[in-house]
This record gives sequence, C-alpha cells and structure tokens, in this order.
Amino acid sequence: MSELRRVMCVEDDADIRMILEFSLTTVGGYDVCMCPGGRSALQQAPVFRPDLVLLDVMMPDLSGPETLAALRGMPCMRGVPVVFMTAKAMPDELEQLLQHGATGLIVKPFDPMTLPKDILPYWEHGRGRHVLA
Amino acid sequence: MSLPDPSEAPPSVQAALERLRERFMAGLPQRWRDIQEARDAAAQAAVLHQLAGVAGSFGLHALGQAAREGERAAVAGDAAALAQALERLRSCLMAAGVTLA
Repeated sequence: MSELRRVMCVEDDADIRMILEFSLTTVGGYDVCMCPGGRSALQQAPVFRPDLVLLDVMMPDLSGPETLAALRGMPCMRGVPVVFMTAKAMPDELEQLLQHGATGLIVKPFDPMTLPKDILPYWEHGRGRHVLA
Repeated sequence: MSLPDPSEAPPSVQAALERLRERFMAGLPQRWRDIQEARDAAAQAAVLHQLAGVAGSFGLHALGQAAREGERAAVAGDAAALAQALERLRSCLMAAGVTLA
C-alpha cells in the first residue's frame, strides 16, 4: 500500500504558509510544496505530482474553487484528494464549499501538531475519486 | 507512515514552534495597521478573515475569535459591532504584549 508523501499547500497568507510548512515537514515528515496562489499551484502540480492538496478558499489571484476546477481538469491530478482550508465557520458556508467537489474541509485555524494526522483520512478515503471520465 | 504523538513532540519541535510564534507576533502590528487603514469594508473583512484563520494556530484563540467577530460585522455592515470587535481585538493584542502605534 502506498503512503501519503507529497502534500501541496496553496495559501496566500505568508504566516499560514509558515505554520503549514512547519506542521507538515517538521511534525509530519511529508514532502511539501508551498504555493502562494492558485496560478502557482497549476504550474507546480505537474512537476511536484502531489498525493494530496490543501487549498485555501479566499485567494486574490484565483479563488480556491477556481483553482480546484482547474486542478480537476489536469490529467496528472486524477484521483488526487483536494481539501479546502477555510476560516469560514458557518455550516451553510461549509456546505456550499463542499458542493464545488472538494474531498473535504479543514477549518482554520488548524492545530499544527495534529494537522499531519488530521489529513490522513482525506487521503485514505479520497484518493482515486474525482477521476476524469 | 507512522506519525508522532503530538503530545510527545520533542523539545526541538516545541522550540521551533515558539520561534515561528515569535515571528508571527512580530507581524501583528502590521496586521493591525492593515485593519485600520483598509480602504473599505470588504478589504477590512479580508484582513480580519486572514487573522481569524491563523491566530489560533499560534495559540492566540481569543485574538482569532475577535478577528472572526470583526470580519462578520464588517461583512454585515454593522458599524457598532465592528467597533466592539476591534476594541476586543486591540485588547487581545495588547494582552499578548504587542505594541501598537
């Protein structure tokens, strides 16, 4: 059984990128690719070939849903779980986000000490889904 | 892959997290200025949204909650609630030892 190794993070806030990188590399031991925006993620995805993507929702260049739609159209991203990270906390807002086709949601702020474990279920149960027809 | 138990993180990891927290704290005066100088309610809500999403990851939960309440008030156009939230936010910043201009 393969393991979760490569995690791509798409986040425009530098402080959140900083704590994400600490969490996923220092605590979790993953290989991480940090992208400051959606356009960067679209460029990096074919090169980095992530096993899982953590995707911010509110970003200035491409929004999270726009980035998700573009990633889903890339052959190299077939079956790769994409998890939204959002500071939105209202249930109706979260439900709306899931309707964009994300594998799941992680509500910010996250705990940097537990995030590496928290993302595992999304990979274990989400990989292989959302393949192109 | 076997991940470590978070409660058993080695001191070096805890020390690294503390250094990141100090870097985050050093940037809080600028975030406060960005909130004060935002050109409109949408921009102000966006800055508050970012702060609400990150403060808790550094253990500053009350600060993050005040930012979240401020974001909601800014989005709703509720000036009184926004003023209250910003006052709570200012108090949280000062309690955390942040020096505000």
